[in-house]
Amino acid sequence: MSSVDKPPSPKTPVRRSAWRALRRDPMGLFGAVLVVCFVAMAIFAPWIAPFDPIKLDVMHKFAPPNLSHWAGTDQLGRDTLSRIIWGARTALGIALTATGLAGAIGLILGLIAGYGPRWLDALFVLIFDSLSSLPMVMFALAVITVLGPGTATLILVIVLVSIPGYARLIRAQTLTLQGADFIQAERAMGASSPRIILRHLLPNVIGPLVIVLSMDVPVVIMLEAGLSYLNLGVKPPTPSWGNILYDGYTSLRQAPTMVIAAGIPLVLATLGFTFMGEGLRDALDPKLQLRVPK
Amino acid sequence: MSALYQVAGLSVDLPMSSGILGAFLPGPKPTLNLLRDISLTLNSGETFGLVGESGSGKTTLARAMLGLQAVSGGSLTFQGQPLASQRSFTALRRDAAMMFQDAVASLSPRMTVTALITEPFVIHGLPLPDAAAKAAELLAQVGLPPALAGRFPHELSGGQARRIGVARALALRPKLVIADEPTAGLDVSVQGEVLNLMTDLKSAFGLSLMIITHNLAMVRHVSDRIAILYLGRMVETGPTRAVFARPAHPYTQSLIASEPQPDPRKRRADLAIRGEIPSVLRRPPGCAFHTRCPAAQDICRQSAPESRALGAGRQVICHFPNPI
Amino acid sequence: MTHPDVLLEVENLTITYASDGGTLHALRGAHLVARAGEVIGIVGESGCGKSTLAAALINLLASNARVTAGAVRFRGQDILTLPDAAKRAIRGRHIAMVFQDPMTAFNPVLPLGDQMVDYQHHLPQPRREKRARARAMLARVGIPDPDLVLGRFMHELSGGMRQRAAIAAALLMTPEVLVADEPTTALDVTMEAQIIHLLRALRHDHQGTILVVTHHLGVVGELCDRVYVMYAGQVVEEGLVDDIYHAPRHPYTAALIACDPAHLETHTPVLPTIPGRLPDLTAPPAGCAFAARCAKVTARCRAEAPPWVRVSATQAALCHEVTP
Repeated sequence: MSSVDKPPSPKTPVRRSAWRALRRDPMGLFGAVLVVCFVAMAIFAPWIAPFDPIKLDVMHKFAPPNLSHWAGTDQLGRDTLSRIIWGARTALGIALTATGLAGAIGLILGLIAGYGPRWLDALFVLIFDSLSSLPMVMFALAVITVLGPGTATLILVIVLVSIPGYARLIRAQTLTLQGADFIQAERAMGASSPRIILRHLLPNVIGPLVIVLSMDVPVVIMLEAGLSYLNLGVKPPTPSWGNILYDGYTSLRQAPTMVIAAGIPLVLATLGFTFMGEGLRDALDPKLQLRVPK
Repeated sequence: MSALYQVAGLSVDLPMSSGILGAFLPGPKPTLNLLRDISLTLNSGETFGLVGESGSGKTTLARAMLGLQAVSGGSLTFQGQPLASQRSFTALRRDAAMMFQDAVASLSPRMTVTALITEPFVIHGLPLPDAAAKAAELLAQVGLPPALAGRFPHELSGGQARRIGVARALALRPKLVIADEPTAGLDVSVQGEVLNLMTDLKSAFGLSLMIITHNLAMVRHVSDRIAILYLGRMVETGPTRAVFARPAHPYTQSLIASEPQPDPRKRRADLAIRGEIPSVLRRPPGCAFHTRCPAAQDICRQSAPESRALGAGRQVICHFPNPI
Repeated sequence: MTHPDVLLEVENLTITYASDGGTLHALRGAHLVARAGEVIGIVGESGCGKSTLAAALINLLASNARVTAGAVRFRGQDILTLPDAAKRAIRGRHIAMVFQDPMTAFNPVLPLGDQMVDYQHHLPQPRREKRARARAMLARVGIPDPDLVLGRFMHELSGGMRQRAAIAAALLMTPEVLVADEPTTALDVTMEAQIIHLLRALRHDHQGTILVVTHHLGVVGELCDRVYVMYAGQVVEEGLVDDIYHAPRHPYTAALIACDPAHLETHTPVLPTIPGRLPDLTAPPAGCAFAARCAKVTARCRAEAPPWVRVSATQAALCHEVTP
């Protein structure tokens, strides 16, 4: 009974305490603000961008930053700033679609593996293990070679590679909760399996997944930029930060601003999602939260 | 009194884990014998105490009775109907409810009190025109203020969570409530409140109560009949008063004598029982209790005793029971 | 003015915790005297402050705790104001603790023997001798095969064995004060009886004092010489265990004893309870903390803090209605 007889610990609902913790954590808040900025940039690209990102203007190629072209122009005279703003759309579009899709599929598979019969679990674990034992870069290159580069291929590769990780996370969470008293209690009351999965397991396993997903978004952004840089990702002329970087490197002498201009948003977006993810993790993960010691 | 729930010759064996590969491999798998040949009858309107130390199998028995644990032998009968299919257990769970040992942990953490105590209606597809009104009624029934309706489980005290458990168990007016350690973790002054509440509601609704506990002092006062489990066997059963007055099994006798006495004048000089409960993994041959029994003879080490009736509704599994 | 055989003295100890809900007054002027050779019980329900008192005795208060007044004197020296190095020197060597859950008191990845050798790190003896001492201590606490157990990890031992090992580890440095926080709460009744028996046997070769913190009146009755009853952060009564059980003076002590089902001789369907709730310790009442639940309450009880009334050389209570 001395376990009850302990100093009081803060008792506030998770959501409110998450918001409060995020507010107390300046890095997390900074990350969240950056993320909001990039999302706004991606959504409102057509209105924000001063020029058409793919309109050629060879008369003004390799223009240095000036009043009308704030970040200069590229080898075909396209406005770099507009391309970067539209590039946010590409980067976030791919990253959010891919992680979202992978997360959703991983969530479903993980719940089935964790809650379902043992043989199904064993089968799923076998598949996850085989998938994640493939060397990622080789696998990506192989798929791209077969299907040809492009946005859809890129998303497919990312989804396939990330599913096992998410599914395993959810499976582990589900297995832990499976034995929890409240799940047993629901079963004892006669609750059906779909009800237990949707009403009782899902809300309790989704938190950690959201954290991992938000920390994985920057990884995917980098991957997209990297593959596009290697001409294996988004096909030109679609503006992508990786394409701009590639063009910038090939014409580093004539227009050094391009590399810098494309590098800055890449770094900021990566930092933003990482900081926000870490902030969310600290706020939501009860194991990392400061507890009053006994 | 009529029989409400009958358990006859129930055995539970647990397959031992043999890894991922083992799930695919055919052939016999090693098993762990958790319960062996349990027979008992719960009558309508009575309170039945199931007593045992940790590892005795008392919680496994309760789970098996509600179909939450696969059984390997024996039969279960509720109101004359055999419980065999999953469907019969689903129907049973409307008429029989279980209260779990850890009251807070048995409440789904992201649901409010209202959602939690009206959930049985939703699960069984029963009409629930006004969830808030029903919640208020159930809260009042277990003596909780209506203000708790919007709280989450982690915002409840141990005693409050326990009462929510009672409210939830009684929501559908079941005929049987199985309560696993209903007083665990509660202060003595609150223990009495929860038990009195359960007794009151029991007589108000005419239900049967099965209390699973290791707290002898408590079960002595609240139960009509008790059964004592040791390593998965029901070593003694009978009317509570008679068993406490003259325990037939040496284990029952030492359990009663082990209970610490608050009265310093009744302090005992010597130990009633030595040693520990053996692990179910290494169940002693013959009578499982012989390793700790003060009266063990050669026959106890060699052959397992059979259940024998002592009269007056009492049964014991022992080669040399105390005279009653 | 301290008596020579007084080992430990707690004087007017006042401790608060900073929490979201405000400042929690966990201890409000608690006091206690422990002499060499005594076994002392500190008994009370959740929230009475007994765990805070135990933590203060061994200098392991939580980080949000603040000592606002009072002292804990070991051999006349206030251990709360010592520098950290001096605190550590006292902890373990002179004042040792046995926790409720021995699993958490040991390192799970080191064999028990290595840990028990490490506990003697400041002794000059060679490792082999330290191991022999550890072995002898394990044998002393009734572990049947100490050589084998020295090589075991904590998770390989049963609950009873762990608690015996924890007591052996605490006694290794022959501390003058042994604080046992709920030493039997996690154990089954037959193991509980054995640990009580062990602690009782140890007092004969342990020259110091044993302080048992518990909510279980049975443990106090079986084990202790004197008792301090705590309620809402205060010691409400002290006395010889026989006085406390047979002639309690504080109404709370009397109610607490009445609630214990082990105290009831006859079969009672309705168990006694203490109506009402513990006062909110973030805003402690001006008068007696028990006034709202007390059967003998008067207007004075609600308005004025009760006096500490000595009724005999050994017994005293914190109550307006008690007369010497």
